Amino acid sequence: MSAIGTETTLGQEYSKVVPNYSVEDAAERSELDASTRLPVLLYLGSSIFWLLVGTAFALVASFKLHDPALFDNGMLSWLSWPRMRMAHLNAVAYGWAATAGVGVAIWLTSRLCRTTLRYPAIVIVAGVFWNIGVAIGITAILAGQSTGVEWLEFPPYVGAILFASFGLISLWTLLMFWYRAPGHIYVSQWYILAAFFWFPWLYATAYLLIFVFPVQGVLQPITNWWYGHNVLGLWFTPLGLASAYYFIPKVIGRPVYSYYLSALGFWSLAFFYSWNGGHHLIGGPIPLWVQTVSIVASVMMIIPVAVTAINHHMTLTGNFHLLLTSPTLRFTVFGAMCYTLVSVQGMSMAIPSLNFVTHFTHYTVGHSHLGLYSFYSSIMFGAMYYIVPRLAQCEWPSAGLIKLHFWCVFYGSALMFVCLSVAGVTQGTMWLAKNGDLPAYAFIDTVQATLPYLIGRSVAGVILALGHVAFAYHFMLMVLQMGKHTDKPTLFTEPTKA
Amino acid sequence: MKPDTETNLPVKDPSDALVPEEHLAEHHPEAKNADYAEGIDVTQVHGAILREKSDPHDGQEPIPVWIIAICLGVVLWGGYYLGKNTANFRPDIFDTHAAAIGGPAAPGAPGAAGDTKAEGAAADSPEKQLAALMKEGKSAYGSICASCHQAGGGGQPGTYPPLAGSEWVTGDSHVLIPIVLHGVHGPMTVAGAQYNNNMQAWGPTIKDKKMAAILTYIRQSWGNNASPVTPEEVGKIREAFKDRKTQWTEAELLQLKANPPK
Amino acid sequence: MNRLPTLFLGFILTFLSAWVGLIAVPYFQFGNLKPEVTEDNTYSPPNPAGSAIAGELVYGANGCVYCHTQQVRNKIDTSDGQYGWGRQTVARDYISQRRIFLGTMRTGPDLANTGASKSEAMWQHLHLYNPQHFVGASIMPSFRYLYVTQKIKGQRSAFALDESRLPPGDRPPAGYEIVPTQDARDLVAYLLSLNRSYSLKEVKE
Ligand code: HEC
Repeated sequence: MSAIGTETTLGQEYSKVVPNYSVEDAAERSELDASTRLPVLLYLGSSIFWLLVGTAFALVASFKLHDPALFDNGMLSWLSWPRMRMAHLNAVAYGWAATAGVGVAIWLTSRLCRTTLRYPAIVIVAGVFWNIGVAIGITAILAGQSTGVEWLEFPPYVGAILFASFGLISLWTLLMFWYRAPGHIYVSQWYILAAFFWFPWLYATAYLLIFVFPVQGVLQPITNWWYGHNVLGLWFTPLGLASAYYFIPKVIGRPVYSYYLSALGFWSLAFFYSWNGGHHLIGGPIPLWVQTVSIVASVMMIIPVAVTAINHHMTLTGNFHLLLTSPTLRFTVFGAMCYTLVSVQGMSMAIPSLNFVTHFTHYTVGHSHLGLYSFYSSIMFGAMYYIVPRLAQCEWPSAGLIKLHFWCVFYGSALMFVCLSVAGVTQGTMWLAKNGDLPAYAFIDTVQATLPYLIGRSVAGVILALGHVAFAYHFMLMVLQMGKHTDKPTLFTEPTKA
Repeated sequence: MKPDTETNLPVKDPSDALVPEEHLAEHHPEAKNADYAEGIDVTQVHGAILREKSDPHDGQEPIPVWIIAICLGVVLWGGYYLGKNTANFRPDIFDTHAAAIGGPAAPGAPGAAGDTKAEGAAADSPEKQLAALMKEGKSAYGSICASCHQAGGGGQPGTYPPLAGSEWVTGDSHVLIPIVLHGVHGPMTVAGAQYNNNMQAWGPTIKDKKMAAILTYIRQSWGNNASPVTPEEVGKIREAFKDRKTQWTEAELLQLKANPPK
Repeated sequence: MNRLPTLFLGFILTFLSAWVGLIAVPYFQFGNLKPEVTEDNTYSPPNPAGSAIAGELVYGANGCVYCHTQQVRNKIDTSDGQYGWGRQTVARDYISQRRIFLGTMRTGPDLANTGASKSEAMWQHLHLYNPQHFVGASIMPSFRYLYVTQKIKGQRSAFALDESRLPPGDRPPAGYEIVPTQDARDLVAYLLSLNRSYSLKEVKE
């Protein structure tokens, strides 16, 4: 093995203290990361752009909800509350979350298949078209061409663009597996492969059955929510878990607790999650059996969730002090904990007696933010804090900014969750309250009762936005090579010598 | 492939068929670095990657027994709940109370257009006709009138007058029908209380048959006990006032009460 | 799990099971319901008339579904029956619409029967124009952008808003009128078509 100055010296240093360390591995990783550099930064950069755009829409929508005449009093169509609301969802779901997820997945795939990124053109073209699709879609929504079908607001022609670019990405993943170094397929890869395989199927089914060959009556909402739930459960969740399964053991440097738990968790998720969709329509005009099947599947989600939580927890035990130092670990573990929380909450919301309180209220909105933001987005942030220095070849310039970002995410999402949950329970219980034959409250009273919490949610939104701006600025510095050029990571605090 | 002694997992053997570039990168990484981060010294470029711990792999702990027990418990519960709440997978049952509120009798093929016709033809006897009228009236009342007068007919104190116990409802049908056909406005006394509000005309949007059903329903519910209203009656009154464009006032209605239209 | 084919078989089987169970089986079981026809040849639900169909798209594009449901649940478990939103709705209630907006949020009231209880087109227009004037504490946004204020040319437009029912600040200057755009008219036609005041045999009351 040829020795190359300081590099090998440092490597040799590490090999004394880090178990399983080998300089060859480091050299290989360096080559892998060099190959993913451009595509992954493209995906991550554009995802952060959409995060900012989506946050801006969210703020406008949130303020307009408690102050309907704000800005234009309904004169400007593109600034109206509903269009802001739709633009927000699509910017964060398809712009931020999906793009970030694919970016992280590309990097993980190269790392875990132990092969340089093959055919980078495929990934880059797909990424460019995906971004163009999202941009057209959001413009179309603002221009009044939205379909108004939740999670599928983009007009069908945009759906086609997104489907085509996503198809390319799926194809590319398969190619990567073709070239992968022989050996074990790690659990993160199961999740990534599955997500990349399910999503096109899901997306195509939904677009075809709702817009192209519309099915009759309530089959549309059934398809709609089967999609709406699976896009979270079988697309975002697997990508989030893939990332958590990689970074938790990676940062602390020990194996995942149990392969068997990983497998049980994966297959039970695959089986039960896909049946959950109907729980969005409990009490609705769909046959009881469809609701019941989905309710049961939702409660069954306790299996994958508990199993994954235990697996992560046992992996972590003994290393909790690392949460004080490592940004990646702290974001990822916070996300993983929120995954447990949001899933348990989701199960409870599927139980009819609770559903009849929380359904149709802000409680559900709080739940979805806990899922897509506190769980999924935190994990993506964590992954980016790890990946970007390796691609940009410099270290995050400021621990303070990372801290600011983390606490904004933490307090912002906590405040939002509390506000929306309290608002939801208030609404739900007021609706159910009776005064003899009459409802105890007029409907409009229940609207009024939520206002303080909606204002609280706007405050939470401002906090989150602050964190996003800090993060985006930080990311920009990295891409512009304005990070720290040192071999020391940027940590929250210096690690204490164990 | 030699297994890693600590984990029993295969690890990549560096000599496994390396393509030339890979070989180069592995043995002379500086060659690569030169073109993408010129001027930065090698240590710094590789800091992050160098200090990394090896890629994660799986531990082999068995699944704890209690987890298996919980899983089995949840699956059992699932089976029980499924068995209890699927209503034999019938497409025409939408909630668990179907039986309590007299679920549809025969599970016959749902959705066949014909079966209602048959039901309609059988419903010839006066009681059955009345029951059909009441049923239609109840559902129309629920969607049209209940948002103001409430499902229980009690109204909303001060704003919407009650229909339960209202002398306008249980009194002469030749007064009640015009109220609903053309609407009312201004002060009016209902069940001993004063109201001063405005109700739109329903004539333009509710056909005679449905109107008769609603009126029959409000005259025979919540303790009200007045005669049914027939579609013909509604049709006659509609015809008699076909030129009327304005809502009624209480004074006009009292006059109408005294002089029924011919 | 080291073999791709095994993995893929698993992916397909798990996903396919739900696809069959929640999409295909419902499609064959209740994907082709017919309206109920009564002896006097009325259809329940009736077919929406005229521009109500175009209105569905306006309803979607302007995101009404994010605050309003169009589904009424059973009256035993929920209070839906108490707010005067009509009887419980069932699958057959939706077969005459092209695009279905069941909704999942009730920031505002249910609309499954708005066409029945607010059957006056003018009221719907005025309420869209200035919701707070009709429901004081409402947080519904105004949809003024669906209306244009224009100079009266010769005769007042037949569709012009009845400004006497708007607050003074909203009234157009003399010689002007506020008219709904085609979108607004389609939207109101759609809202008025939301009317489940017929009965169905699978609805037990
Ligand atoms: C938008 C609210 C609203 C709706 C919907 C409504 N009403 Fe009324 N109704 C009123 C008001 C307000 C009055 C009292 C008007 C007044 O004070 O002059 C009234 C008065 C009446 C009266 C006379 C007073 C009484 O209480 O006996 C009858 C009868 C009546 N309504 C029947 C109906 C029927 C039948 C329907 C359904 C087709 C209906 N209303 C729908 C608001 C409504």
